[in-house]
Amino acid sequence: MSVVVLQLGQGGNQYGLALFNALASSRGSPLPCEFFEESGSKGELPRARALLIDMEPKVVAAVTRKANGGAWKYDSRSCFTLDSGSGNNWAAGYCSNGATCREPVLEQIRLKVEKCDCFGGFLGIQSLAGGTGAGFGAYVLEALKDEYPSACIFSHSIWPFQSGEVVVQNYNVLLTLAKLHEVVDGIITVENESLVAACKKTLGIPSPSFVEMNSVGAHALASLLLPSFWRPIQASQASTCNSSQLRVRLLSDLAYALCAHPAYRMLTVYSTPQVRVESLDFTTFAWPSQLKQLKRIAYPVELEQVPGETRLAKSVQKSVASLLALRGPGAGTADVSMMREPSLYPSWCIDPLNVCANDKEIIKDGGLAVGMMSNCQGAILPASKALTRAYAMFYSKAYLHQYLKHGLDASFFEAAFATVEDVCHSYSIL
Amino acid sequence: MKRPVENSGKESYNSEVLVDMEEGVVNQLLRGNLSELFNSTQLITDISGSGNNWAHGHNFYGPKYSDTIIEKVRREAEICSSLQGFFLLHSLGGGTGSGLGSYILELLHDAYPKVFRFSASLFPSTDDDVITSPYNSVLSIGSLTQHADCVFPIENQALIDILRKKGQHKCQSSEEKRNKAPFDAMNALVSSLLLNLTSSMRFEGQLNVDLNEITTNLIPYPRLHYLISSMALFTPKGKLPWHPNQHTKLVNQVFLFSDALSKDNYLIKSNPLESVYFNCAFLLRGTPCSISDVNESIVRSSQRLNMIHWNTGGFKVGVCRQPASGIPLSLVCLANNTCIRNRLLAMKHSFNMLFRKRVYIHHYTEYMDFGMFDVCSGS
Repeated sequence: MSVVVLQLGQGGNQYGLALFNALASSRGSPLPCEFFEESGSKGELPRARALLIDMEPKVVAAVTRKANGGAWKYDSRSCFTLDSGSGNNWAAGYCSNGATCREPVLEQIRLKVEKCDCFGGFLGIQSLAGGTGAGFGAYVLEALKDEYPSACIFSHSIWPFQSGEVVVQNYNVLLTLAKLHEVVDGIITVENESLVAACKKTLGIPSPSFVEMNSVGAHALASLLLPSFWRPIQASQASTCNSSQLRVRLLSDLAYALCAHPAYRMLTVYSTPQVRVESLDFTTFAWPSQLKQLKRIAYPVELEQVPGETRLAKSVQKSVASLLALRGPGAGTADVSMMREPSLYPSWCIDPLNVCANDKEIIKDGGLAVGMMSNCQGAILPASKALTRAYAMFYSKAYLHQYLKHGLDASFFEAAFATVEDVCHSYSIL
Repeated sequence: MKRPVENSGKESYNSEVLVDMEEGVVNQLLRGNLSELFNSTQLITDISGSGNNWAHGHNFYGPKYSDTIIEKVRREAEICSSLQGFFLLHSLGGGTGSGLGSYILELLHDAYPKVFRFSASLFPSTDDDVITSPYNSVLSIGSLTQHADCVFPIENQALIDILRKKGQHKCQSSEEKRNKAPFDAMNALVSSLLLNLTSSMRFEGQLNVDLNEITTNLIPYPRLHYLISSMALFTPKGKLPWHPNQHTKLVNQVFLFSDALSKDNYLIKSNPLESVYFNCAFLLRGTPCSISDVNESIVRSSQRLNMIHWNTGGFKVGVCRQPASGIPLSLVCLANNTCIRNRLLAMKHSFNMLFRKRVYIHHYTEYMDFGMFDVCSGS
């Protein structure tokens, strides 16, 4: 089922380029038809199913240029740019640019959707700090919910650095999250800090740039979006991954498996292996060690003192539901029972763990990879920090005039803050 | 006074209108090295000048030339595919730059209310040689506060001190300073600030910053739009091209950030580290810079800064890949800081000293009401 990707703003376009590169790098396999259109004529490169949207033209031009010359390209007609920029102003993106650009953008999207044989949904990629990605992106996704009410919509949203990337980022983040929570099925969040940590500690890149950070995040997401087949948690010896198994349908299967409850839509992506490129050739892969590494990353534990001096390790994070994607030889039969421990999920969850697999490797011959998309508490800490800071700014009435002049009012802010507080509360009581 | 009109389209037009009420300086520009860049039809000049009188510039020449000004600006604005802002370059101490400049700002506010108006304003120094400069500057500040979107205050004394520190200016005594002030080098500093500000609009980068982003991020309240600016340039000794290795990269960035925040590098005489920062923007230019390095530098620098309690994480970052010519790495720091209050109070103090005795008032009341003085000093 084909997915139309919307790259919104500078962050979204740069990340989207990395995502398509990751999707196209699966070894030896043809490009997945969910994300790439077949090339019409011989010798022509397949085109990505993507629409590049930004309020100023430089980034879209640069991204289109960088994609050409590889195994795929962007369709040069699938771009929408203005000249003005949104000025990091959520209200400018949502109210002013939204209203003026609604019709042409929806028309471009309609053309992309019509090219899909079997349309599966939208994936919007945006950063949460800016004006276009956050504000205009929220507007576009809301408009898509009106135009295509039965389509699945996921958003992949990038948290800015906590130390400050944009001064008004706390306002922009909370306004966007509140809007997304109303209109999209699942919000996949990734923090810049965790991408930097992954680049530094495990991949050995001492000062990663956005290009490297985006690449790490995109590979993790691609490990979940590449073609795979459903398998039961307890797999018998005889089952293998082949075309007689049910293929995972993007994005409806993801929504069904992970976002069944309307109050819980925040998803986080984890992946292994996290090994330096130079060490790949010297690494031996085994399913138990990969799964243990993933569990350690996704469910950090605290040691708990109990009377009698026995120390128990207790997971500090719980998930509502998880989707595990195994890739590599033996994926169909690997034992995943350690991810099904009851302490990782609340007691009211039925079948919280879903597993899919594909025997084809994506790293190297014989290499194993595990990706997990989890509906868990991972996004709550940054959201709470953003709330605290945004409240402080809001009560001092700082920067409000910038938003009010585009048509927002103070009650809009208060409603958004309340929505995000509710979300944080729901996750904290898991 | 020159006012370039920026456009954010792909064409690189030189869009400016040159205004001066006496012809000498403008004629020099038209005959100088860059004469082919200036369009001789976009001039507004008169013969006699404004006599360092704000009221003469604002209330006499303003209405006289308002139609011509609007017409010339309209002609430039129509060429732009997407007009993002006006840049006003003027001094506050004189008559034309301050008086007529304020009038033009008001005209632009009425004619183009949604287009940003930036002003690089030269504040008078304490030993300024124009006697009526306190009147002129306070009267202009009133107009700037009301009609400009963003003001970058600059002081001649600060520019001279920066050049002296760099070893480019050797004069010590004040008479020598007045006669031999290196105006070319000082103007070059200001122009490199403006170029670095707009570099993200003109070139690619990992994190672009447009002019409208500067206003959104750095102006928390409409009237508090005075941004102090500083620059730190990394010029390696030896020949270019320069290939930084890992070790020197981190060291260079530490020095770059601490230079940019030191009080000697600001284009206005003040000590921001002792006052409260509302927010701070760091705009980097150059290739050997990754966002994680910048992030670490910001975390390190923020410990020295006294940020206001409701905005402890108030930083804006911009990274532009294209370095300035001859300078592989440069950093511009813009800050909205309460230290500007000291400069404005000093200005008001000089104003009050003259106003109490009512000296030179008769020159001004020839063109304007007496009440204007109270209004502007109040603002």
